[in-house]
Amino acid sequence: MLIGRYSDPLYRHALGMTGSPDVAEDILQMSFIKAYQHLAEVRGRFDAWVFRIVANGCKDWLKNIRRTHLSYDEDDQPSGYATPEEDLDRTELRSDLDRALAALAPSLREAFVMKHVEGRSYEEMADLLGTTVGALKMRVHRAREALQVLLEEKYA
Amino acid sequence: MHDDLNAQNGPESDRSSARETPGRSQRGRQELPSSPLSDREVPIGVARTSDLVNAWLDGDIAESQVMGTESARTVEFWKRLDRDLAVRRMMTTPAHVQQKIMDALPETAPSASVSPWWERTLSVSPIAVAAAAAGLLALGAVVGASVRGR
Repeated sequence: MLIGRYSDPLYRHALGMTGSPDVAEDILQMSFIKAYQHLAEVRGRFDAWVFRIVANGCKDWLKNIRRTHLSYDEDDQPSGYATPEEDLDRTELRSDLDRALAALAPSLREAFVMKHVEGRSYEEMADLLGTTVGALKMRVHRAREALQVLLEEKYA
Repeated sequence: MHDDLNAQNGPESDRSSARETPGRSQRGRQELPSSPLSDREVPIGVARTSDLVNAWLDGDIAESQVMGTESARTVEFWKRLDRDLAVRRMMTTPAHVQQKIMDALPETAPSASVSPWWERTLSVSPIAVAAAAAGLLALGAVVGASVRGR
């Protein structure tokens, strides 16, 4: 029940941070097992606590690997695009966006993913990451600048 | 040995923060490097996303307020990017992943091992033993003196 309730935003976070569905699945699985084994140590909100386990799992993974490109399949996910041409365009954009995100510093990527992929407010992000709204706004703005530099020429 | 499950940031955070440079308000376009996208370093600190665009993307102002001042190209770029991000926002955990997690969880609920006090190992430092011995000796001397005094 807890898994069903919390897994979607955590999966989106892991997928946004790693760019790989397989890695995201592994991190999610390891995180829930770790959370289950250490349930007695929960201090405060469970969702914030388990988020930190997933976020640290992603950072550990990023620390150990240098990726150039990993795309993901979304066969069971909604396409959101009406025509095959739009779908094709989107596949390319998705792939380029993944590569651009992978080029960002982890702290910038984390902030951008939380804001734009998970759809969280700055206040919620600050609560989860234990930092200030101002610092997070700065990180998101820098991430946008970097993405714009990398992608604007092709997609604007 | 325990992992620090409540750690706010991984060890990477310090290094990654160090890579961030203070933002500048410099505007204008820069020549994109000719190397492939994946090989480029991100030139962080080159401000191309203005405060107005950031405010719009943060939901603080309406699109119409940006269109008048910003180039339509930048706005269209972010709208296009947001269409992809919106699809990502709708993503859900695949059903097989939830099942995989459930299967991987131990069958028995974790419980703290509680043993009776007489079965627990007692560890006392030599200083504590010496202090206790001295205390007992002093107590004995006091009791002895009071008995002799009667």
